[in-house]
Amino acid sequence: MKKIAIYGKGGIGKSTTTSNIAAALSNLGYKVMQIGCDPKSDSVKNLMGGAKIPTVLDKLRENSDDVKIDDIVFEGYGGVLCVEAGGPTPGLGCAGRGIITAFEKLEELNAYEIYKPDVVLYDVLGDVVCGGFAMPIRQGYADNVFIVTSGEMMSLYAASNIAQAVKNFGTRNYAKYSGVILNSRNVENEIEVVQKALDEIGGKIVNVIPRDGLVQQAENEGKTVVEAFPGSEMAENYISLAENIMKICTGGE
Amino acid sequence: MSKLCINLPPFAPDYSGAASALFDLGGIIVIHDASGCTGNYTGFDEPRWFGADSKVFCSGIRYMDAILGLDDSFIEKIKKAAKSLNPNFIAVLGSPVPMVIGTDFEGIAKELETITGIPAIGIPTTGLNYYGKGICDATIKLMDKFIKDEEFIKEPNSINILGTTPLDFYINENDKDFKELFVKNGINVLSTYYMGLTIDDMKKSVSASLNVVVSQSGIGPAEYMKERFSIPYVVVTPLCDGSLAVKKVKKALLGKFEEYVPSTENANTIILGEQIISNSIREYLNKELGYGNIVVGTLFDFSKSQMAEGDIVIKNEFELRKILNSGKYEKVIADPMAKQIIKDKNVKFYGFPHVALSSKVHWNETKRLMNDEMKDFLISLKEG
Repeated sequence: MKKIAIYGKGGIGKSTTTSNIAAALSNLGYKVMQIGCDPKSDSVKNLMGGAKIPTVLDKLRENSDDVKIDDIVFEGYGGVLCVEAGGPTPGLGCAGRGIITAFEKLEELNAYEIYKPDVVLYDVLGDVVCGGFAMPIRQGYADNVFIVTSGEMMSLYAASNIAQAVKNFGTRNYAKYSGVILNSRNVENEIEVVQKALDEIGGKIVNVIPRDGLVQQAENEGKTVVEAFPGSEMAENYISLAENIMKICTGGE
Repeated sequence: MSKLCINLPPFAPDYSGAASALFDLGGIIVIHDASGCTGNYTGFDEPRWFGADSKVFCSGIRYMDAILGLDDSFIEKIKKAAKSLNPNFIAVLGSPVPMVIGTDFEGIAKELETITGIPAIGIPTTGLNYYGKGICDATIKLMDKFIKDEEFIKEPNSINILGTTPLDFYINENDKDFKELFVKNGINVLSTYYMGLTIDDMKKSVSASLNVVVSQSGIGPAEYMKERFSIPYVVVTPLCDGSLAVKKVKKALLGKFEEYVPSTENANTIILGEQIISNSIREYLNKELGYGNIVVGTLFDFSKSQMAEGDIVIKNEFELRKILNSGKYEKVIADPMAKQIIKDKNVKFYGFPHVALSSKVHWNETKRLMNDEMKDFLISLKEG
């Protein structure tokens, strides 16, 4: 089982990218589980036909003593197993602790042993702001961390922080930082800008995902590009990204 | 507010259980807390603390440590202590504040081990679970750390005793009585988890033919050892002359595991306490004294597999109050602190202290389970 965490600045397109990777991997024959780790709980909606699924914390809120595995794991496009960690009441509670609780519940219910996914994708909110949002990169969870970024300064700044957080855990032998996914925003000389930043941050550009209206069109249908426009150049981009990620994670590159 | 305790004191939590399990093993035990939790353990849940030289420390976490996630200063303090004390291992235990901020105990332990070269384990206790879970989690972490996967030569006719901590048995020789009973009956005792246990004993314990679980906190470790080392287990607390326990253990050593199913229908007697000790008292009363129809109720951790039909898991004092005043029970065996909850003066109460509940208020009265006094106590219950 390969466990991969996708981090990046809020609004950079993590969920879109992650869902397309999940859809592409499932088309490539992998059994995939995608876990949304964002209190907004909108990570998997494009794998679920645009529908929101109940979150782990929703179910715990309803009845903490009697949550079953099929209350929180839903099958989406291509058999992708979809989970949303969820969050506390907006403005109250602790979102980071919520992520930890959701992860503990998944483990308690033996989610990984029951479904035996080949690949688990953790789609994680914005930045590694506290212990809770670092959970996916801790021992036993993700093995590899990829960061979604554009050539915009704030996005690169966030990428640098995330890479640093991963490196901070170096003495604990946790997940390793495995490169960035450049989700283009049509910034001038975008690849060069990102490459220059990576000279300082470290790591490589895994793939460049061009900006394309098909992404929005697919989202309007509640789908990934891979599902809505198979055979399109954009779908091929995501498939290539998925293949490269697997190569990196299996030591092929 | 249903969990509010009005008459009963706070119950022994998971960090007390974990620390109690590790107490005799020669390690540094650090509870990551502001000091109240460590104080609770050393002051109220650990009778061995007074006069012992075990190395139990408090991290003294403060407001800014929590907000800023200052793991480094925590690690630095432990590193300094480890340097001067040269312990067998380092154990870092959690409490409510680290639980809320998601402190990474396994990661901290890994860093400590790398820096100091001393084996380290992280146990993410929270203070929100009971002591049994802490004992169980500590055992599994220790075994994962110190016992490597290799071929073990099974030693015939040998046992480990699992589940002795002062939280259930106090320090009045109950653990030694258990060991002596089995040795006297020709059974080799390789280790007693945990009172007097050493790391070497623990390593030897994987050669045992059988585990004997004497309290609920031993069930999880027994399950773990069954899966990892193929050691079966039997559940019984020796009482009085110990003959029931010896019979059960000898049969189990021959591969015969018998299930005892007590009748609880129309029960007019309730035993409230640690699940396995209570079950064993019930079995003794049934089989040796012919006194039956008893239910067992527990306020602490319980194993479903050890519950008879009609047994009760009591979630809080409110539920306990309802049960004890339901008019169903004429006789109650429980920690002396439960007596004040009973309103009906005709109910006969038999005090049976449980350190995890009443702590130092009654721990001097804890019964030595294998002597005539215990037998007299049980006879008086039957005849009373």
